[in-house]
Amino acid sequence: MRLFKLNTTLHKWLSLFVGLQLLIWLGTGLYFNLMDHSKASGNELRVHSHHEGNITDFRFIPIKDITNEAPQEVKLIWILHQPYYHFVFDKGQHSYQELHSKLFDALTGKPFNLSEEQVLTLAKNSYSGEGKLTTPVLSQPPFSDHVRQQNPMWQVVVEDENNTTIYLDSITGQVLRHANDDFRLKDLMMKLHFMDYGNSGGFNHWLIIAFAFSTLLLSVTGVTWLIQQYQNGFLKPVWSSNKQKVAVTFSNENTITDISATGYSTVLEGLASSHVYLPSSCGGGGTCGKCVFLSSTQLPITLSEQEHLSDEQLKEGYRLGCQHRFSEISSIEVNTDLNIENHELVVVATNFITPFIKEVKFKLKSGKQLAFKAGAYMQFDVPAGMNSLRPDDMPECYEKYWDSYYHGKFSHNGVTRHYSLVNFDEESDELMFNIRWQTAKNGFKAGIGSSYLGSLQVGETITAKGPFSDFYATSNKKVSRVFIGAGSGLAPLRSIIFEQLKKHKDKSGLTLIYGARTEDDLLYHNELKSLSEKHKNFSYIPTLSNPSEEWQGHSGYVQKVLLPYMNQKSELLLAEFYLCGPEAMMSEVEKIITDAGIPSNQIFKDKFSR
Amino acid sequence: MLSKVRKYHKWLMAFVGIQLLFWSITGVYMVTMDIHYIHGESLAKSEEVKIDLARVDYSIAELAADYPEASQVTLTQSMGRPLYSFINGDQGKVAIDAKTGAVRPPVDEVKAKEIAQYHYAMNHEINGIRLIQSITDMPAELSPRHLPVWRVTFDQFATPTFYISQQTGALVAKRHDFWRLFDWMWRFHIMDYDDGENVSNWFLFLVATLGLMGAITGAVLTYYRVLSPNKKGVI
Repeated sequence: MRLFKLNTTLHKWLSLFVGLQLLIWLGTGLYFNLMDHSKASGNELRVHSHHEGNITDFRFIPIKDITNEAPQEVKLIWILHQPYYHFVFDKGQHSYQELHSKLFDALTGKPFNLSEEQVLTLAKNSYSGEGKLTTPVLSQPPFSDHVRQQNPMWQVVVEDENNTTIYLDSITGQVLRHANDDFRLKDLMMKLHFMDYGNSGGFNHWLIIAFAFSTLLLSVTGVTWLIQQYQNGFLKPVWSSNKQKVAVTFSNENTITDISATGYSTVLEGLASSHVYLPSSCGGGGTCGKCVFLSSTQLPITLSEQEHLSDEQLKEGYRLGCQHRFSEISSIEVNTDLNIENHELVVVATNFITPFIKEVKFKLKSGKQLAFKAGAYMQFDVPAGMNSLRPDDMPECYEKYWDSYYHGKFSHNGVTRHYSLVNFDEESDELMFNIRWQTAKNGFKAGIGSSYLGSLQVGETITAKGPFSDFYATSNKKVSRVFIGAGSGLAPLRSIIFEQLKKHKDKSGLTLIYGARTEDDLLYHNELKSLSEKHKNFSYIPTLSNPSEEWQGHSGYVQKVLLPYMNQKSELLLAEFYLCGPEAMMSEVEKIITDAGIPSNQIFKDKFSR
Repeated sequence: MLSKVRKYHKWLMAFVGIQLLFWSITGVYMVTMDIHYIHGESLAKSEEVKIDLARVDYSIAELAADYPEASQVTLTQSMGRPLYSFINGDQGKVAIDAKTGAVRPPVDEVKAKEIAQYHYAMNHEINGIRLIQSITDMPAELSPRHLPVWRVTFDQFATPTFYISQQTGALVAKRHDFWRLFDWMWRFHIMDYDDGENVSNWFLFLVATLGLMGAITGAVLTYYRVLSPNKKGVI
């Protein structure tokens, strides 16, 4: 059954064919609805004058004595109070059809023709305006002011603001029409409504018949479509704006993120509201069949899906994003092209905060704000070019750490690099990153991404995709969390901790065990310290592998601190563990945690840790 | 952007779509049915009989003397017999024989049937006849200025109906079911379900405005789906 597609395709192409005329019909229809009828009739300044005299005041000549030509009817008419016989020899059903008639003086029986002066008087008598009447002209059809008229008419042009023209019967001088600009506007609207582009004066012609049938088909296909929408539950007004959260797997990137949207929006709309764009060229009409997603649960199959997806796809769980509501799904997989999510970032501030780590802050060039989950990362496009082997703008106090590294430049190809955001989305309108300068160990090549990003000056721009989320705090509100990080691996942990405390007002226990080499290498040390003093549920445990003599805190790697910590607290069995740092550190830490009996689904590691 | 337009189009049409269907159906009927046929012009023979002026012995001068208040005097004919019809002051319409000057008696039932059959273009039995004298008794398909009239119906599909003036014997109106259907189509078209005469009703205004908005959003959709060179994901 490809009826759905046939219906919608027909609807689309018919709309192309009749669309313009349909707009004209509706627009002119609205005009007829709103127009001032007395103005549009053209008779605003028209008056009716009475010419009929008293029949007993005249000596009439008998009708049978006037002519031998047999009439269909004879009317006794009055023109300027004088009686005349109007002989009608041939006439049609309508007055505009060709008419053969003659006028005779009812007193003398002589044929009578109206003079220009008499016509002018008759016209004047019918007109109450201020305009000046010009000399009458006996004109032949066709008339633009009276397209159906087949008989000649006297035409009297009036010099007034409304461009009035008075039309009178060529034989009897009867006023037939006052045409003015109001009348002509209505006449034009009629012409448009009747599609009378060939001046037939009517609406029974092949053009309008063809358009009428096409429009009927357009309406029928439209109503059919509406009925199908109703049957699929897309015509039910829903006013609640309850947000619904759905786990979305990006099969291209193999990342999972939670996306929330109002339950009644379609999957297509809901994802789009979080800047995840399924391909779609019809915009959600079910006609292009492009917005495919894979659902983990069985969803009903709509007509549109039957036609756009194969039986195998349907069986596997593929559906169209425009055909299901967000509230129907819980976890889905999408295969989107994320190129659309490229952003142009502008550097707004740079600052060395440890000897080897530079804090770089960006804003979106577009001025927009990105929404993301804490722990997210972005993918930077580093163009090919020449980079410095060591930073040129290092503060003096850190010079001593760089003594052993060469000055100079190196060339490189274009690469992409991932960096975790240090802040969460509502913390500021900036996107903050920690760039750890990967030094040139062999003396001729530093880290491509870090040296490029670390050399960016305020005002320079870079292209980045994202943010992508695959490392983030669960939505569990009761669980306590332990964060374990080392070096620049602090970035996503800081982001999550700040989000939990400041945005989510988390009251359960948060512990950060953070390892670095020296005091100088500790990132955000003072900030974290004061945060732990302010929030009693947050403990900050820094540890240094190479501390100075003044250091009062823990020393050694994080593993060394973690081991006794795990043993002393039994409630950690239910806690969640978030890990970010060098690979070796993470696997050792993971072993310690698993050995303590923590199930692996309570352990989260940042894959892109450096 | 396109999805928003689609949403508006859907919801607007959900409200006024049925009336658009009605407009299309009634429009198709009105343009396909020839208006002259609707007017019943094919029901009556076209009258081409000329008046034999030789038989008009009673002159206008005599008429003026006999009926000094006469106005709108017309020499016409009924079934080949010449007659004068005019308004005689307060008495209203009067018809007199143009040969003798005798007042024609009001058309009776037998005469009305005869006149109806005389004008009828086809050949069917008369299956109903009644005299209508007051507006309250009158069907809406007739104008009250024609009263009093004989209503004559023929035994035929579409119920051809002739209205014959009781005073002059003239065929004043022709109706059949196609005319009656046309009248209903017109009412549905202008959405005046009251008396079918008021184009300026607020209901039409509301639906036409929403319909126009629906059509404009539809045009945007058509533009992007068919005419736009950029067919990439425009959402």
